[in-house]
Amino acid sequence: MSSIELKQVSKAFGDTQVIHGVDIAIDDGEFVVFVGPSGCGKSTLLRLIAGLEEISAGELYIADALVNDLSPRERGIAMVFQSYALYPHMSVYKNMAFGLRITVRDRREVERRVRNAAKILQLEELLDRRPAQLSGGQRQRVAIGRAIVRDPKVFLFDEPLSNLDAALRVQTRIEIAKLHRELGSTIVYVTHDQVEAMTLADRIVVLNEGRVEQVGTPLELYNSPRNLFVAGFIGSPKMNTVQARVEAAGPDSLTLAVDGQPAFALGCVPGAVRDGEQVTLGVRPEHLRVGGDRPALALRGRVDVVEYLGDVSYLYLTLNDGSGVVVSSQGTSRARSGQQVSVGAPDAAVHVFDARGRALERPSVVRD
Amino acid sequence: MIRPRKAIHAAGVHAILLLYTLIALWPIFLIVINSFKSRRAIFRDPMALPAADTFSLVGFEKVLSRSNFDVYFLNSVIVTVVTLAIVLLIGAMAAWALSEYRFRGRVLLALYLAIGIMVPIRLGSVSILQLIVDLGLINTLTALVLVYTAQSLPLTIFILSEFMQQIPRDLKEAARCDGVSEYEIFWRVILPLTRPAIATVGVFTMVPVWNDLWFPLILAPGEDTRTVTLGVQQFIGQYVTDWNSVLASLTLAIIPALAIYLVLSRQLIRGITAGAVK
Amino acid sequence: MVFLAPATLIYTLFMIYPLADSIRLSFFTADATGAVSFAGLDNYRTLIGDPDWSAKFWNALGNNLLFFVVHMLVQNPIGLLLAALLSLPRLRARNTYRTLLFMPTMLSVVIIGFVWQLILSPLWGVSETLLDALGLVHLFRPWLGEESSALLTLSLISVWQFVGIPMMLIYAALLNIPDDLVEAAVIDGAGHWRIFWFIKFPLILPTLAMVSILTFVANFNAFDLIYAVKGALAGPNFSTDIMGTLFYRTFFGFQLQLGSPTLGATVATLMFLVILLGVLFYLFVIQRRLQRYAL
Repeated sequence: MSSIELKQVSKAFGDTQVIHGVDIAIDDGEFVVFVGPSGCGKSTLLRLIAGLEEISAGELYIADALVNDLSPRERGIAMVFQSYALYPHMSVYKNMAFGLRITVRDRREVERRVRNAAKILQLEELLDRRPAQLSGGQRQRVAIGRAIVRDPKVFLFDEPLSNLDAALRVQTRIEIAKLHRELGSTIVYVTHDQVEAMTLADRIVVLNEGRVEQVGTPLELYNSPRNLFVAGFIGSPKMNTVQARVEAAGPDSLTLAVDGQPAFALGCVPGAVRDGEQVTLGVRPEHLRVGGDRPALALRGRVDVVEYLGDVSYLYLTLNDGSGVVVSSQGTSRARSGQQVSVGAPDAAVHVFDARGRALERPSVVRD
Repeated sequence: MIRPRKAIHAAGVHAILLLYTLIALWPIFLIVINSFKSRRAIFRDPMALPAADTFSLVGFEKVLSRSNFDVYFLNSVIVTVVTLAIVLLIGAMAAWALSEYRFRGRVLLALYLAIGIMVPIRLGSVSILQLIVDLGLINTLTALVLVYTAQSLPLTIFILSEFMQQIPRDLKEAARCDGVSEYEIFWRVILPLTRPAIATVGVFTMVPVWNDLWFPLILAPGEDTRTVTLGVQQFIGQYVTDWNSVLASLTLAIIPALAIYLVLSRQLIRGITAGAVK
Repeated sequence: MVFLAPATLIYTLFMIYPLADSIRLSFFTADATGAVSFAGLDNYRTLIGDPDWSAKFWNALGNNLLFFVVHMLVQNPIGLLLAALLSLPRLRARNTYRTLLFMPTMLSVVIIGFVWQLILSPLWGVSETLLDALGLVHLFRPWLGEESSALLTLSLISVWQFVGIPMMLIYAALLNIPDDLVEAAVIDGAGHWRIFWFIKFPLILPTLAMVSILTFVANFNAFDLIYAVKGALAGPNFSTDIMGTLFYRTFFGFQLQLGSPTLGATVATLMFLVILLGVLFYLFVIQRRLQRYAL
């Protein structure tokens, strides 16, 4: 078993608290991605798991054993660094064998495992080269190879794709996903790129300012973000937000008013908000339609710019109250800039957040 | 558990470093404290700090009365400061030319100037002495300044031109587009940007010049032109048995040097560790 | 070029010309009247062949070599050790140590020479007292005064003073190694010891080579320490004579022997050749083999 469990894990550098009592449980064989803006503590959290930083408070379990005071070696983890951190003076073979030689005495066993890893990663031709003689993608694979030869309980990836160009990034992403399927090991992967997170993760942990904002499968986060931060962070282009006021909170519906727009009603679980409260509405660009057939939410505004990307078009609107909204519509939109349009979304596509940014529970919001 | 292991580890590291720090500082410390003691106390209990009954400034009084320590000190200051000023100015100019302009023979000239980094100038002493005599500069501070300038230039030019190459091209080109003259670019743009490196080079120039014995000995041994280093050496040679005077003269030489070092050490160490010397 | 002229001029006049002229002078000889005449390799023959001179010359060269070997075996390893300790992560008081350890290096060799001369002096007895406290008093000898130990003692004094230079250069090189590399090795399960010898050490080899050549040049150019402590005669009985002091004596004369600029120039030229050999060896043999790694 190589599950990982963090219980109230905190980290402070001097007086600065960077991780605030984080609880995460990762199952054996799960691929978990830590995602968040830069400085949110995701890399620190990974380094705490790796044992490169000491945990200030809380408990960390790997494979059900408390590992707070164990060295990285004793934790049975392997890590792939953003810079790859290949030893520049060693050949690819020696890079992969370095860690192995410390624990495995038998030279033939070392060789067998290095060759095996090299085969998986198609590095067989490159074993005698130095890192400086490799391309970025090859270095990346050596870094991964160095991790897998040790057959660790847990793999840690620290933004492994950020030094690759766009094309290579997609390709390597797919390779990592394939590798995970083949090895079946537990992976913790840190990235600031939500596309990487969405495509790779079994579950995503969204971090912000050293706190966990939400943990869930990619679709859970996409469909029912727990708060405004997650709503804004997951999905591209970002979810639109519009300020609204609760006119009347009925037993199963809310009547809402947006400045400069006609009032409208949305389904709701009772007791969540009171009359007169300010709320934020969130609608993803892809859920908004121009015109539309009696949408639950309808917003009027003027088209500022239209971007045609071929498969989709993005309409940038300014609403009557001055806020901006993006609409993503399939194919080539017929809207023109300067035009007044009405865009709408069905009840199920509208998220409502209270004044503190927490999502209101709604009976009809799309769930997977 | 690794925490206790770590603590032991750290204690071991500190023990070694402390021990060596002690080895490095104890001799200096010993000289300085004993210079403030009476002759009897120096011999009776060398390790003790000066106390009320053993405190004595007799050594300092003798040194100051028997030698022109103030003159030596002033000479050292003049030679060091003037050398420094000239080296930094013309060194920076040369470094700028070497790093900025592509002209024929640039690499050759750079190599020519680099010879002096590896070959000690002392080896040319025979001819330097002759040259200084021919120029009528024997027993003048000017002679020392000229020789030290030549000695310090190679490393200065090398470090500064490495540093100047890292200044973004855009800055210079923006200035050129604004119609600023080359001289003004050098003065207004390059020199201010080079300040951190100049500080490092300054210390590298100063220390050997201040501490040198060889050239003062052969070029300016006269009483009026002696530097502190030579002055102390001569004085001690003369009064070798007068422990108070010897200790006092050493202390007089040590204290200003260490004071300057402590003031500049941050700069110096930053310069070295920033890889100004490769 | 206006920018280059002043530097090139002073440098050429006071550095390159004297060096070249010294080499030229080494092929000439001066008679009692001061008239100079071409002498071919006579000066070299005198220095290396003449029984009187050659003994002095080889003695000085041998001593100088020993001086260098002591620095390589003591100064540079201590410098490496101190640098390795200073560069350990999360070391408290790092900057204070660094500043204090570098202190002796900043002082004049002459001053340091006298300081140690006093401390080692049997008259004062400070070192004797200290050894006594350690229970080692039977080891005490007037090290500087005895022919067998004077050179070694002086070498160690010089080591004590200059250990700061290798320390700082190596420390800087160690700081340049990216943290990632060390952390990768930690993850790979390597301890401090293994990380140092298998990761850090190979990466600072170029710096170690540079430190060695700097030591070599400085040692074969040394003079001040011996002159300050032992005078131009480099006693006892020339046991501490090195190239620098030999050069000085040959040039200016001592006791009954008259100084000879041309013979002095010959010694200087031979020193130049020794240093040149060292530098060329470094440039063409050592540096070629060592690869610098882009870190």
